[in-house]
Amino acid sequence: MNGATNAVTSPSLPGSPAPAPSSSPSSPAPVPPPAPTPASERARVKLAWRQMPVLTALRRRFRPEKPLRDVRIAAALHISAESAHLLVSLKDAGAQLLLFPSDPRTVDPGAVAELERLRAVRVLPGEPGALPEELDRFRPQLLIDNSTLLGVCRRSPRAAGELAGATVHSRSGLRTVRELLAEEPDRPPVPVIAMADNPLKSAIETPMGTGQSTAAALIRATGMQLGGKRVVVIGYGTAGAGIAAYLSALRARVTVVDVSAVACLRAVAAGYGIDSLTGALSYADAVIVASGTHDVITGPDLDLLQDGAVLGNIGHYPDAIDVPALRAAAKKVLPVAPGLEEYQLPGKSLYLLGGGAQFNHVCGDGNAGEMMDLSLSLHALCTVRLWERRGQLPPGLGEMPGELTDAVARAKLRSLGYVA
Amino acid sequence: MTRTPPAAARPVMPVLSSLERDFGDRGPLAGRRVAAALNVTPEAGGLVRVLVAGGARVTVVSSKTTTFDAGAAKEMTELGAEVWAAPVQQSAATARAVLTAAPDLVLDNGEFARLWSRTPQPPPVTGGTAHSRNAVKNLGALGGDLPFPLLSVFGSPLKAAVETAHGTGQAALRGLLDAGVLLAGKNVLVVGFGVTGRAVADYARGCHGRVAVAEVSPVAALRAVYEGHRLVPLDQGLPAADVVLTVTDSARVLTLERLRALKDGAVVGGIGHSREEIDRAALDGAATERRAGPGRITYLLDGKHLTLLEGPGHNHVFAGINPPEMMDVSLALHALCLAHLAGLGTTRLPRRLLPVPDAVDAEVARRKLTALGHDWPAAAEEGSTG
Repeated sequence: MNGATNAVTSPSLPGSPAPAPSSSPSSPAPVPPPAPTPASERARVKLAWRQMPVLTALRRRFRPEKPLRDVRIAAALHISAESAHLLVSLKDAGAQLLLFPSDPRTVDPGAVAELERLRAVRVLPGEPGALPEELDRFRPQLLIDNSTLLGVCRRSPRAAGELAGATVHSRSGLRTVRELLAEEPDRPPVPVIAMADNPLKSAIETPMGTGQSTAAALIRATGMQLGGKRVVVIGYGTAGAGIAAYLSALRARVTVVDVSAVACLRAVAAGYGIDSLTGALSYADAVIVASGTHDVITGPDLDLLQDGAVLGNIGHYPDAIDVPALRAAAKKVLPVAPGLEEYQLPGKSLYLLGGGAQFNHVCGDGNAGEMMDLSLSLHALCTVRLWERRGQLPPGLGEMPGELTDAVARAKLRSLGYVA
Repeated sequence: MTRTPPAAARPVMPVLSSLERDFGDRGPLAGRRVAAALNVTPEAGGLVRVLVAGGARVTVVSSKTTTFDAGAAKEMTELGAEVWAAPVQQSAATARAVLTAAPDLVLDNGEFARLWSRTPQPPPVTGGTAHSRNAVKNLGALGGDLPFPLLSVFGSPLKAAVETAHGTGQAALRGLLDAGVLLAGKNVLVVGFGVTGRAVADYARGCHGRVAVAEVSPVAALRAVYEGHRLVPLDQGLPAADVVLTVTDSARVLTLERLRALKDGAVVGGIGHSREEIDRAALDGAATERRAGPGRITYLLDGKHLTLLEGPGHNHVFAGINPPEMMDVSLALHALCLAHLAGLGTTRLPRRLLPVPDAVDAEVARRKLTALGHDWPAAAEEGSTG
């Protein structure tokens, strides 16, 4: 969306090291991007909202109906223009909102400014676990969660006292919620609806949204030509499969690493190479961690990487790549471009995207608003549903109502010009 | 074992071959009686070989008469299996024979469940496997529980994302190429965008066809759009289509009226479950000429040529069977699921449709990867993702 930043790209020299970040001597001096102004930031946020027609239509419907009048909703989300649109929609539905950033490094200041301008929500500076007293005071009635809010509510009877239900956004969030509920299924005894298994998210938004945003962020941060490059995708779940498909469409040679034999066979059948982690790291031009797990690239793995290799993580946990170990091994760390650092190790340089945090957010715009429109509209509809049927739904993980999924799909098709 | 055909004549199915050796050593089905509703083909023969090697007494019932291969039946018989050529739903004698064999494990196409439900005091069954969604589609009508637990092989990610996505995708292409259809630059209309429709669309695009999709489910339709296909209402898509492929669960998708809307030279083919997906009877009645060629029949309808693709033995599924290398996956899932059920001991499973155990999926995937030359055990030790 701030494409002007990259209007000037660096042509790579023949025979230059594969993933040359945009600083080769032949490059023309980059034109500095225009500094964002409040007005330009607002225009950017509004453009993202325009690209979310399903949520826009819901917002229009909520405004007079006020289905969430005075309902207290706490949310833990990546703060972006898109998630801000959900919060503004819920505010228009009458809700009172408290927002925790999912990851303070991915906060979009333009989105925060717009939320403040509209007085839509109080934005807190840290994650829920770090500020449990805020939830105690707020006494949320509904949650839009990445699992951390439910975690706090389980420990605090006060915070959970009036809770009626929760929606959970990511797959890693769902995994954590499953673990929590397996320990004590009735704590808190509220219905939980997860987005991760919904086909709109698992078959469209995650593979296609993350596939495109990851490829775009990789190119934007490094300027690398993907054609012919050996890119290693670690983790072949819904996100990893989408990333592999988009990189492969850009002519990269994709190798998949996954511990699941089923995932590996899927990757092989789709035409990718598979390898062990150590095998793949030895020839990788770029490594993308998409497993959504901890401690994937550790200190000893750094020895295996070749000079010039680019490392990035798109999973939720920032410790997927052991950045402290990378820093300890480096003689020198240089900022190269926004979201890209060069770590000068003895005999080689490694390039880290986004400091190890989700680089499709840090180095790019995250998933396209048009994609997030799907899951964020589902959050809005499920939140209203949880409130309307409070006390009637069984506690624990419940099914997403199929008619809500169909309604969002139909609205999206109509916005794309199809009769549905 | 000595009178079986030479191994070189058998379809290459490496996972089944490895299971045959392993079941021979371990005997996981020793003393068990298995009834299997199968398309009686050489590939299914590979599964029977594994079950027999595992120690089972096997009764095979042909699932369809159209796919019955006498050579494969002979091979199964020589392995020691009892083979019934008439499907349960068509033959009281077959039904009686199955009940008399008193199987305690079944590989079901839905007909065994129906037979057990309508039979007073049928022999007790530990459990079974179900091959296709279609097989169990109407079992809900039985009311309440199923007569025995069924593991849904069709629900396994290996069946959907590997065998169907790529095996059926390629099989459909093969059907088209065998009938002499060139896809590059052609308007290909794919009707239905489920797992199979998506595969067919994907492979048709891979051959440079210009794919349009007609689909009634909004979620599937949206997926088709975001995968880059054009979405069209069926009736609007027909006049421009060079090739129409039906991949639905429904009957009478291409009615005579819709067939009349097609242009001169159009090619149509069905791959869905219903024999009536394309109204062939009405087409036969209305066409003024009918000329059969390999894998196809060309009709003259309203003065326009219309080519209908068909599978071997005039099967309505023009794609024919999935490549043996892919059937290897689902047949191995059946074998390992049946061994899993046999190993449950006194554990009772609920009498419902249940997922294939993760360990079974992983076992089949590992064996397949090994057969494809991937050094899987090393990868498993060193990989580090979830």
